[in-house]
Amino acid sequence: MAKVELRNLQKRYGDTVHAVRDVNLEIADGEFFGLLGPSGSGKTSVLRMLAGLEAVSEGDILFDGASVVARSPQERNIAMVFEQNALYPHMTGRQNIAYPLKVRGTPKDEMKRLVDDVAEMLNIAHLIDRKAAQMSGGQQQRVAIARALVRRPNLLCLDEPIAHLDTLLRARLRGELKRLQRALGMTSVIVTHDPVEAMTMTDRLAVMRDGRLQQVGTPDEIHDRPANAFVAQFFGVHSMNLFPFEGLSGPDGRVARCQGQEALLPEMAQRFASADGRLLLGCRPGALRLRRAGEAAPEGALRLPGKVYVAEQIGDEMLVTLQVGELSATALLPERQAFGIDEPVTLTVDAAALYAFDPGSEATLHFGTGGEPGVPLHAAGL
Amino acid sequence: MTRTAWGEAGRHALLIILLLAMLAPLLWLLLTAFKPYEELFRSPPTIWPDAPTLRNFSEGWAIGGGKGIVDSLIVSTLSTAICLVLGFPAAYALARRFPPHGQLSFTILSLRMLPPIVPVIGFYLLYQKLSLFDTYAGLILVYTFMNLPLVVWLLAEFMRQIPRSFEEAARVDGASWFQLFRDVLLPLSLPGVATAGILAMIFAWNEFLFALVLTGDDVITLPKALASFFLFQQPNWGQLGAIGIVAFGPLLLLSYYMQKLLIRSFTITQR
Amino acid sequence: MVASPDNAMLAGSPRRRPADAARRAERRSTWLLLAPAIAFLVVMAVWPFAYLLYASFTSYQLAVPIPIEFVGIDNFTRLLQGERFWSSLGITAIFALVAVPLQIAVGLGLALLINSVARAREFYASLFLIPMMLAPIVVGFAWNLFLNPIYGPLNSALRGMELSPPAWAQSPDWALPTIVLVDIWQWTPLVMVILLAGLRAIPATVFEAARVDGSTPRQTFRNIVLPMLAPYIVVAFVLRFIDSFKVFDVIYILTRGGPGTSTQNLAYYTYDLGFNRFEFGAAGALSIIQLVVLIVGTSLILAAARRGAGGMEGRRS
Repeated sequence: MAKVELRNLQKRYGDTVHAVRDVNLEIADGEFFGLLGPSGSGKTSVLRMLAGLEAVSEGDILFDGASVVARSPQERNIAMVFEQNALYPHMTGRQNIAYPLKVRGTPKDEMKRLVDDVAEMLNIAHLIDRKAAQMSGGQQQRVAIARALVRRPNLLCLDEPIAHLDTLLRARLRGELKRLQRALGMTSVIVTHDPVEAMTMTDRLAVMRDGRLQQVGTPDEIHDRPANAFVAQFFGVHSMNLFPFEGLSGPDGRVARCQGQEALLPEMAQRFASADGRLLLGCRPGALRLRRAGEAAPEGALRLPGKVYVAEQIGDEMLVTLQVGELSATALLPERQAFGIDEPVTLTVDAAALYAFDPGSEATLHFGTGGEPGVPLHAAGL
Repeated sequence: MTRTAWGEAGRHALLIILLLAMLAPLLWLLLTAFKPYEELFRSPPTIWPDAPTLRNFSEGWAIGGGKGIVDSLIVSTLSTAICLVLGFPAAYALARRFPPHGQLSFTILSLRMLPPIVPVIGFYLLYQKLSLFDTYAGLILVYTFMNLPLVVWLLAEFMRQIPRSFEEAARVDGASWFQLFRDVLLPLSLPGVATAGILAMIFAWNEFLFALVLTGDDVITLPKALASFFLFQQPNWGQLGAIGIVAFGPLLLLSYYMQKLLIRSFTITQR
Repeated sequence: MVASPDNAMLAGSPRRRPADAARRAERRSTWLLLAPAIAFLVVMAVWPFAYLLYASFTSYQLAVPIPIEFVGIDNFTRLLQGERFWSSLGITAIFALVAVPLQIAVGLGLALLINSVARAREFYASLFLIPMMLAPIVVGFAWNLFLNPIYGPLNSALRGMELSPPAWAQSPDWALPTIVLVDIWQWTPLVMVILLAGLRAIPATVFEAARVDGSTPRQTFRNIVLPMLAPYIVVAFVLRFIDSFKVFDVIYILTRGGPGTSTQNLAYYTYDLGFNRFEFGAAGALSIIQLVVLIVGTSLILAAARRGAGGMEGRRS
C-alpha cells in the first residue's frame, strides 16, 4: 500500500492535444479515490500515467515519496482492472489470476493457495476453471478483479471496471468492490464517467474537465458545495438546473430576463450580479416547484415563467421537464400531479435553495441548501 | 420477383456446368493418372481408363516424385519457419508502433510485388560466388525473401485486431518482453500465424522459377521434378498426373479455407 | 498561474527526462523488433541487386571465356534496338492489358452469379478457387495434355463434331491466345473472390431499398452494385496488373516462348537470355528495364485509379 502524489502532471499527445494540464493530487494510503469526468476530460490519461502505461510529459508521480515516472508498470507494482478485454481469452480463470504470480516465480503450492483465497473472497471459486470466453461479462470482470488483488499491489487502478455491465450487475459489483477495498485497505483509484458510481464508492474524488481538475473533495462536499457550474451540472443523480439572467433592473434590481422571459428575483440574488447586470443562478431539481396559473407563489422566491415539455411519473415521484424559452430545466416533485403538454407554469425556487455562480468564470459564489457560503476551491489555487 | 424457384435452380445448373467446364483439364489429368502407358497416346483417347492401374503412383514416386516431395518439404517448411520467426516481432512493431497504411507497410508490401524474374539473375550470380547454388540453404533463403514481406504484413494486419488491453494487462501483471510474447501475443495471434504460415508454405511449394534457375541435380523440388520429366517428347502423362495428384492435390483441400480467408481479408483492407 | 512558466523551467527540466527516456526505450525496442526482418530483407534485396547492376553494365557471358569488360549502357541500347525486346514487351502488355480486363469481366460475372444463389455460395466459391491454388507447373501440364492436338480430349471431341481444330499451343496463330486463355483460367478465381468480398460488403438493405424504390435489376446493377464494387475492381486490377509481369511457368511448360518468339514475354526473354544463352550482361539489363517498366506502369495505373476514384466521388456528391 502506498501514498500517491501527483505533481504538476502534464500529458501531451503530439503538438496539438494537451490531455492533462497541471494536475496536483494527493491520495492517502488506503484511500479509495475517484477520477470523474466526461469523456475527453483526461481522467483516463491520468490513470494510465499512474499505472505506467503512458509516459508522463511533464511533472512527477510519487509513491510513498519516491518518484516512479521512470519505472515501468511491473516495477511500480500496481494492479489494474480494465474496462473490457482484459482477461487473457486463451487461459482459464485460474491461469489468469495466477499469471502475475507466475511471472514473478511464485512457488506452485503458494500460488494455488493465493488463487484459492482470492477466488473465495470474490465468490468465483466455482467458475475459475472455465476459459474466459465461457464466462459472462460480470464473471470475467470478477476474475479480472481477482487477478488484480491476488498480489497485494501498491496501488489498484480501476479503469471503468463496471461501465459496460448491465444496471443490476453494476449496482452489485459497486457494493462488492467497495467492501473489498475497505477490507483490504488497498490504495485504489477508479476512473469513471458515472457520478453515481463515484458518489457511492469513493472516499474522495476529483472532477476533471478538459484536462484540468475542477474540484477535489468527498462526494458530499462536491455534491453540496460544487466549485463551479460545470461540477454542479455534472455531479449528482440529476443535473443541476442553471438559469442565466440578464438586464437586471426594476426597483432594488429584482426583475431580470431569462431567455427573454421576465423573472422576479429573490432579494439575495442581486449581490451576485456582474457589473453588466448578468446573473447565473442554479438549483437542484428537487428544489424546483411549479405553480399553475392563479396559484400563489411564496414570498421572496425566484419566479420564472415556463411551460411543461413533458411530465413523467416515476413511482411516487414526478419528473417534469420544462422549457424556459430555449432553455430546458427539470423538476423533481414529491407528489403526483397531472400536467398537460405545453401547459404554462411558473417555476419557483426558495431563496435558500439557490446557488449563485459568477456569470463569467462560472465559479460558485454562493451555495444553496446544504452548503454555506465559503471560498470556492479554485479560488484557493486549484 | 425474379428469385423464383426456377431461377434459383437454373442458376445452380449454370454454375455446375461452368464448374465442370472449368475443371475439365484437371479432371482429365486425374483420370490419366490411372491409365497404363499404352493407353496414353490413343487417338481418340479413352475417357475412363480401360485397364485402371496404380502403377503410375509407385513409378512416379520412384523416378523422382519421392525426392521431390522430400526436397519440397525441407525447403518450404524451413523457409516458412524462418519467415515466422523473423516476421512475428517485426509484425508486432509494425502493428503497434506505426500507422496502419504508412510508408513502412507500403515498402514492405511492395517487395512482395517484385516479379521473381527481376532478381533471379542477381541471385544466380551471387549464389555461384557464395557456393549457395544447388543447396537447400540457397533455396530456403530466396523463399524466405519472397515470403517474409507478406508474412509481416499479414501478421501485422492480424495483430491490429487484437485489443491493446491484453498487452497492457500483461505489462501491469509484470510480464517481461519474452513472457509477453510467449504467454499472451503468440496464443492470441495463433490464427494469424497459421494463416501466414499456410500461405508462405503454399507459395514455396508451388514456386518454379527460382528452383529452375538456382538449383541443379542435388536439390530437386516438385515443380522442378515435374518440369524435368517433361523434356521428353512423349512424356509419361500417367506418372506426371500421379505425382501431380499426390503432391498438389492436398493443397486443394485448403481452398474452402482460402476463399474464406481471402474474402475476409479483402473486406478488411477496403475499410 | 503567475509563476508557472518559471516553475516549469526550473522544476521541469530534470523531470522531463523520464518521459524522454521512456520514448527512447520504446524507439529502441521498436527497432530491435524490426531489425532482424528488415536486415534480412535489405541484404537479400541489395546484394543480388548489386550483382545484377554490375552484370548489366558489363559483357558478362558465362559460355564464352572472354574477359568481363565494362561496356557502359551498351547492353541497354542493344536491347532497346532489338526487335525481340519490343515484341516481348508487347506480349507482356497483352497479359497486363488484355488478359487482366478479361479476368475482371469473367470474375465479375462469376461473382454475381455465385452471389445470386441462395445456397451453397461457399461451396461454389471454394471449387471455383481451385485453379489459383494449383502450382502453375501443374496447370501447364493439365492444359498441355488437354489441348494436345493428337491425343488430347478437346481436339478429339472437336474432330468428332466434324471440325478441324487448331493445334493450340503448337500453332503460330493460336499459341498466344491459348496462353492468355490459360492465364485467364488460372487467375479469374482471384478476381472473383475479391469481388465476392466487395459484394458481401454491400448491405442487404441497399438492395431492398433499391427494390422498394422500383429500380429494375439492370438499374440496380448499374447505379448501385457497380459503383460500390468500383474500389474492389481497382484493387483486383492493380494486383493482377502487377502479377501479370510474373507469367513464366505456364509459358515454360506450354510453349517455351514459341513457336518462334510468338509467346515470349519479358520474363521469358530474360530467362532465355540468361540461362539458355548465358548472356548475363544483357539479361541483367533486361531485368532492370523490366523493373522500370513495372514501376512506371504501376504508377500510371495507380494514378489513373486515384483519378477515377476522385471522379466517382465527384459524381456521387
